[in-house]
Amino acid sequence: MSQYSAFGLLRGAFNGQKHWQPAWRDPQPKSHYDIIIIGGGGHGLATAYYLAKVHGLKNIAVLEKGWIGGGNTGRNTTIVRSNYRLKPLHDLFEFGLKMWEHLSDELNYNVMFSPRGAMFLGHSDADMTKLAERGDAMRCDGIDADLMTRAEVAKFEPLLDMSRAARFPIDGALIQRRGGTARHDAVAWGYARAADMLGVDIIQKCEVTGFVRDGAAVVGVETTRGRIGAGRVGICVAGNSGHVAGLVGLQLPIESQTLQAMVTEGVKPMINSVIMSQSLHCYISQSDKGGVVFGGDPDNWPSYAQRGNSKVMEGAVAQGLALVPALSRLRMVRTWSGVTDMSFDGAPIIGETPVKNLYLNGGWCYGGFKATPASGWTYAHTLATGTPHALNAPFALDRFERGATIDETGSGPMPNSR
Amino acid sequence: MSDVLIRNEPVPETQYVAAGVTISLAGPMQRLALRARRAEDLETVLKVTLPRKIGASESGIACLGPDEWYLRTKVGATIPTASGLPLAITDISDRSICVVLEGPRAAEILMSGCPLDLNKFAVGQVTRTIYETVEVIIIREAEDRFHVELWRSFAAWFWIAMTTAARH
Amino acid sequence: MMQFACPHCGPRAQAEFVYERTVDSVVALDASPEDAMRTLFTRNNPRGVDDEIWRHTYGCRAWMVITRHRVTNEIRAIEAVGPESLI
Repeated sequence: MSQYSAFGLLRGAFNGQKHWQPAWRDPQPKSHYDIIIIGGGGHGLATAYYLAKVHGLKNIAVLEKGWIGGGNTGRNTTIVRSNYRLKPLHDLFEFGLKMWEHLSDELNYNVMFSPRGAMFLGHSDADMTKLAERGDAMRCDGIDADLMTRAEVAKFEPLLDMSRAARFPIDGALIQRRGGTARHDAVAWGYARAADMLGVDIIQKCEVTGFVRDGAAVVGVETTRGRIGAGRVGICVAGNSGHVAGLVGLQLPIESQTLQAMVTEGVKPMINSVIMSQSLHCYISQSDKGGVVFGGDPDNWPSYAQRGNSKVMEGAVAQGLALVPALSRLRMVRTWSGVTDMSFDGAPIIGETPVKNLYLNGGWCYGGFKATPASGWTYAHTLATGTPHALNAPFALDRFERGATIDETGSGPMPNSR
Repeated sequence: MSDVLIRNEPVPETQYVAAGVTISLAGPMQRLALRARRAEDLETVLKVTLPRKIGASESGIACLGPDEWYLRTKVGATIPTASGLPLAITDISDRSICVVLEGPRAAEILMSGCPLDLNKFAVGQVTRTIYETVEVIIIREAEDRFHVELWRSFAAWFWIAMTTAARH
Repeated sequence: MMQFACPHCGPRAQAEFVYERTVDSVVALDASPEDAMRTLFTRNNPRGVDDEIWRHTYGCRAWMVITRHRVTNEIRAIEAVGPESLI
């Protein structure tokens, strides 16, 4: 398979663009792999890619129950940022953000990473204090963060309602200028193509229905396309972690919830950055195609339904319109929802499980997309060596019983109120 | 009494008039939250008969839930509170205000953000419900008159929501 | 949006209800530390039917157990409970 390049595109222009090949193979599953990754989302594909690229492993399969880009990778709001408060989260997400900056080159695939600025609005003195505190925490850990005044916010996003009579008056903001968005499908496709070129078997329409045990260890998986043996198995199915772990009798500190998003018709550029808020649960950005993408709260009750409820959707839109009144003139063209793994401290889980040879990557709550490269990098290290990378060591599954939770909001074991 | 004299209401004290509806602020009232596992205990202390059916109201006391009643009466009325029985009688007079909607469009305007079908809501019926994100208690006083009890802090927004719905 | 038949108030919109947690996550007062940890921090989280504790917060404020299918949202049963009967 050849590299994509401007020259190749030009040459194709003279041949009626007949040179295009499928971006990855469609192989039959082999009887045994050294490592099987369950879940062909961005995280699973990135893991396979780094296993092959960094750790030199050749006999790897990614099993996907649907098709590449059809799960949460294609259902998020594409926001990339690393503006947290706690060091383990900073370290992981900032490592990821630095990888995003070179990802298109790395994969030879345009993931359309656009560092347009991720801005959190503050609507009160209390909000601004919290934002300053968060900004301080970020800068202490070497991450860029700037507090913005009202005037700076007004200049940066002219369509925000800056009036004092606004439903949510804006006092200022905290911006991470290196944050932004990326094209979500392209991330999955880019990793899939790059992993495939390194010999990884990407097997679609192959759902795992059970695990093959040999005593205490997992030695393979049962799938809708037959039994496949494996040296190590990595679960990477955020949204469905509870279900898949349940197949081997594991209970996880995870509850699945629905998170909705929606997009308007395409219009000329009107939103410059990613607009978020310290107090509201609404985030707005404009895709390169011109559609304005909205996201809101999770539904706050367990669901695998992949469809949301009108109340939450209306809430997100009402907040969005209050912030940017001009959006009221746009037509909403699509809404969708994904199933999120809400973990019990709001932080992801990457590491070993109590079952030998079985590893888990999940619990990403509503913030997994931005971590795709870092998640793949650290999970690949964990799967290849059997020990966690320094970056994912704090995110071990046993941190809950050790009392070492990474609870950014300090709200305790409440997956439904994050 | 001084708090009554210097009251600062969160919504206009002049009524809002639109086609088919008048929206106004009810005067100050004494409000009590009554909680008890056994209605008889409350009846012993208050010396009244409590409605037992959720949604029903009798002499100013509405039954809101299996162990909860809501009493509204005039300011200054003496209500016994001490009892020694397992119950709670809590004065919440100033926590809430009451917005009155009157006119043929009153039900329609409330339904702009409330999931209940108020066309099937009988006169005299009372319930707690939600308007958009705001907890409210709706009391149908007459065919075309509703009392809406809500917390003061939500009142300014609720007033805007009601008057906006009335304008449409 | 779902509609729940509240055992006290009859059919009401889901907007009036608040999800609390699942029945299997209520910690017994005499639980051992290991059991308490497991109960508090892990869930069955089935892609199927589970028993959930909900409260009619914007209504009669009563608690109930709702047996619901998490993919189809089909409601199998709704039962009134007091807080003490869950332990």
